[in-house]
Amino acid sequence: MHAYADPAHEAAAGAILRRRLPDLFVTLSHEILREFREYERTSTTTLNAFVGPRVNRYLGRLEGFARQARFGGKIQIMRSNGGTMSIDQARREPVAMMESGPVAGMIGAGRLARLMGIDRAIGFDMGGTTAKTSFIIDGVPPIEEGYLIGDEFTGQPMQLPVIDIVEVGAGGGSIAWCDQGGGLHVGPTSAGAEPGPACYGRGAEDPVVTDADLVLGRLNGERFLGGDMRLDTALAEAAISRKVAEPLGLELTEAALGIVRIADTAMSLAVRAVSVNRGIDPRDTVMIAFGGAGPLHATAIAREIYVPTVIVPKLPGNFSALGMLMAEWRKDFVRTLFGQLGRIRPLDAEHAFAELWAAGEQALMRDRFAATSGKFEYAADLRYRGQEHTIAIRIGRPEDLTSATAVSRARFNEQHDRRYGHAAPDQSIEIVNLRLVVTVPRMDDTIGDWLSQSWTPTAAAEEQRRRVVFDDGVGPIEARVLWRPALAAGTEIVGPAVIEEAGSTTLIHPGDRAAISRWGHIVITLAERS
Amino acid sequence: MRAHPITIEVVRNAVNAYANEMATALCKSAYNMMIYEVRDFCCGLIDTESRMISQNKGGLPIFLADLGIAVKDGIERIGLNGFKPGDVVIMNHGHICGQHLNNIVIYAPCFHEGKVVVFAANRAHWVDVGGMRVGFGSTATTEIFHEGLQFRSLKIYEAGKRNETLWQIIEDNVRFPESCLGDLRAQVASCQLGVRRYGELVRRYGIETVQSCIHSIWDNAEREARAFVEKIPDGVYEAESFLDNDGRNLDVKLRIKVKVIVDGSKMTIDFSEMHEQVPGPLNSGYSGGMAAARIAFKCLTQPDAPVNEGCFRPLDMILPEGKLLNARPPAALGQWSVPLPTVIDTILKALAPALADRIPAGHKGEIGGYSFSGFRQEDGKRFLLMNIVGGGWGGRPHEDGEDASVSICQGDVRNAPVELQEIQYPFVIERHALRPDSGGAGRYRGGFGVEITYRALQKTSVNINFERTLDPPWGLHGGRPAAINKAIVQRRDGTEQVVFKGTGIQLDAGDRVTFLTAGGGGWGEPRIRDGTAIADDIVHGYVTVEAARRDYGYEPARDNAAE
Repeated sequence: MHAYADPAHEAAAGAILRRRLPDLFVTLSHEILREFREYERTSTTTLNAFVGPRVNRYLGRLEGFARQARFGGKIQIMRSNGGTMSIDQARREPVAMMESGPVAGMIGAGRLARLMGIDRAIGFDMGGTTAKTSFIIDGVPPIEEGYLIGDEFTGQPMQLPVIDIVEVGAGGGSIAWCDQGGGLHVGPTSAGAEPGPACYGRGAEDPVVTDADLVLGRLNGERFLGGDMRLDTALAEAAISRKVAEPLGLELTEAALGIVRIADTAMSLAVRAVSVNRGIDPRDTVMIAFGGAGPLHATAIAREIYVPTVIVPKLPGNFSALGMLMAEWRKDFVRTLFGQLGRIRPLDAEHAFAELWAAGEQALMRDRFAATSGKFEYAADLRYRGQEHTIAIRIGRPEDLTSATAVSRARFNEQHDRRYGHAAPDQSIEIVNLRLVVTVPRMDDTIGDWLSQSWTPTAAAEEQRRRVVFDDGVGPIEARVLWRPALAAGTEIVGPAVIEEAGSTTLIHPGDRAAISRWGHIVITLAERS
Repeated sequence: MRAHPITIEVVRNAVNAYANEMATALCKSAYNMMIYEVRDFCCGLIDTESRMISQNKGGLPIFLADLGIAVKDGIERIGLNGFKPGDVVIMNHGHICGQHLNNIVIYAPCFHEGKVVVFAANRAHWVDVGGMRVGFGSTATTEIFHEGLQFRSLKIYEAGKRNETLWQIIEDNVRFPESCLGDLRAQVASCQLGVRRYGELVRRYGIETVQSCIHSIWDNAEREARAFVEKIPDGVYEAESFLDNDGRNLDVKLRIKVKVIVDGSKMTIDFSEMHEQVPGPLNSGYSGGMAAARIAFKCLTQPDAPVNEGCFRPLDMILPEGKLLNARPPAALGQWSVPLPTVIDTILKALAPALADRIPAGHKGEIGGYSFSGFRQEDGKRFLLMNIVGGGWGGRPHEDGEDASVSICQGDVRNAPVELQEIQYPFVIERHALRPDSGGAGRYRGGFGVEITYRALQKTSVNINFERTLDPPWGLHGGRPAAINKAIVQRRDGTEQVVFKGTGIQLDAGDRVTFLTAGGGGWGEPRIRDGTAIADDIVHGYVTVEAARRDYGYEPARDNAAE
């Protein structure tokens, strides 16, 4: 109890455990979270302890391999808050990595949205096992104070800052299966990388979404991963026939289309939720689609929920990884500092600032950054006296809390009014916590710069043609098949078309218009639905 | 005219999102724990015929019924033409709202092209509204005038200008004016947010389109509810239970009798044989009966769907005046919500024969609140600690009941964190645990209640208000009843006293109070419970070996015991 304020007992218990059982992964609540509320803190700490030993071993191995291969740089690990941390920090605080993979993609999507001047974007990332989506306003994906692992009724709270992402169990590897009543389902079980889809030819018997995409001609079995891996259409057909088409008495194409439809519907609901749950009409948004399978399914989903435009960035299959290379090192600190705004003792305020500054400097040094390389941003959690919840207000120095408080006061009143619709300018304001966010700008922002670099084709390739099934009842129709690295900026393509590249495939439905932007991103304008 | 399906979907999600946004704004800027921790509030949009368009997710199910009732009174008294932009109305009138006076309704009209198109409304529990006792759990009152200030559809803001007279009256007549007026400001702002959002919506789509969408949403909800009722065999289903007493006449048990009539796609809940209204504060107004009927109906028909007026169209209620759930003025209403969990459980019990695979055994069946109050030693300032703790829910047709959960009336009401209570009030909480052996035995046993021990650090007084000690949470299909609620007051000298109901019990520094809450009833014969489940319960300390022997005929295997 109350270890957020005084960790002495916890620290003593931890010291005994670490001394007696040096191989045990020990995690202490105050090392993870310095905030009151025993349930949320316990849950977060327990989650850290639960994932700790495995993640710790894994990261240890990873670092060992990297050093063996003479990697001399810093290994940074993505955090849930959209920043990065050192591998040592990640080994102590693995819970801070939760959901960080999808987060990185959304950081990249946010950067792209800002560059392209899109104020309301929906990031959509579809990989092998799940699809993730986030609503990005002015280039910034929203940050939540914590989140629930699992659903909202039975989930475990994780009380660390995390980018708000909605996830749905549908991906390229999601298995299609029939229930006894003759219902067709897709997921949530995934075939994973091994044995993978039936068409990988590694002995899998269950058909997955990727198999259906191949059977429908949407994927190119000869040019998957740029031709490094052949996909076996016959195996995909056999799996779908045996597991879906025959039990349900469907034609092969019908069954394959059904699998894709069901996956697309599940994803549409999730994508719609991130916008309309905020009361925002999807018709006013742009979808940024990435992940290996994202560009293949994005246009169907966008059409389903009336998103008019889809953007497929360069290298969509690697976009999450690229997003990590756009993220900054970041660490958040908090210290309780209780008092009244304008009346707090200057010594107390100065002390709290100094303590945080020292903690920030120490963290930088521990991760081998020069103290001067960090950007220090302070904020104070403020509230009207008597309230419980606080708002973090940016401040610069101790005087912003002690003497010249007019600015802080005005900022708080304005924020309170903006968020909650009222303010009480004549009431006294309490300080509860002092916060510090330290970020280290990237030494080089190559990947960020690359997003807006002019595009020139990097290869030449002949246009091909192939029969592709787009819709029910229409049957396969002849579609143009284009090699993305060969397309010049300014190229316009009207669907039906398939744009292929090494890590992904973009499907352009009949009537949709795709254009290669001057930076090389594909901008797809969807045809009006009749 | 039927709106475009995607527009309907946008409007549906938008009106629900607005209610949730209003709730967040209220919760985050409120001044009292009952709102920001316990979430004893609701927010919603009400149309000009006082029908519910949307209500926030979470919060209290007992508020399902009645924002509309509060707004309806204002529409009748003020008239739709009597509203101006910038008006805000305050309402807690006992007879009309039917709840304790602490529940303050605030609402504001939203105008479009010069006409009121919707009201954004919320209700929140103020820590005090004057009256003879502070906090909840008092059984001292016998008429509404003992219980505090009443506001009947009064404009606290008129065309944007604050009514200073009314404001001053509130400030001078409540025990915690800074908190109450802070909450009032937060409530007003939450309404203004709802008004702003709905205004944007009707400007974007046009009022006709939005209204057409809302009707489609209601019709759809109604269709879903009817489809479920259709599946219940027609018939008249009855059940009965009782409450201990009204806190005044301790020998008089209160009969809770319900009749459920299913006829095609229509369900009628008949409360005519319910106990008469009582002298103590356990009464509610008409909205109390309505809340109980609606909660039972909603959790049967559409447990997951957002709530709106259409959900309840297939539901009728028979509730004569003068009954416990529809008391005549000037009945005391201080503990209006206490009977409701039992009423709902009894409705469900009535339907158990028809819906054997859906109805759980009885749950803890009461509201589970207590309060401590006093004056702080350091500065003489008044304090009031209120908390709500959970208990067990009944075993279910396929699994054990939930542990340590608030009643069916309280949704996602949360207990206050121990750390928060200790920071803000002069107590040390020495223990907070699941209560062993409290769940009723059964093939699927009931969930466990809670035990929590407070040690007072200074002179204080406590209100204890436990119910259902004579009619414990029942088992179904051979399951056993659960352990009952009780409190133990332990003095510094070691003497102990068991208390079920007590108002203003004095405590000195060092005295302790332990609250032990009821479990849920068991479902099915205990003798056929899976042996590993019993062994598991013993290992975790949920069930003692003695209880396992007694209730399940369980003998721990020797080699297991040796491990």
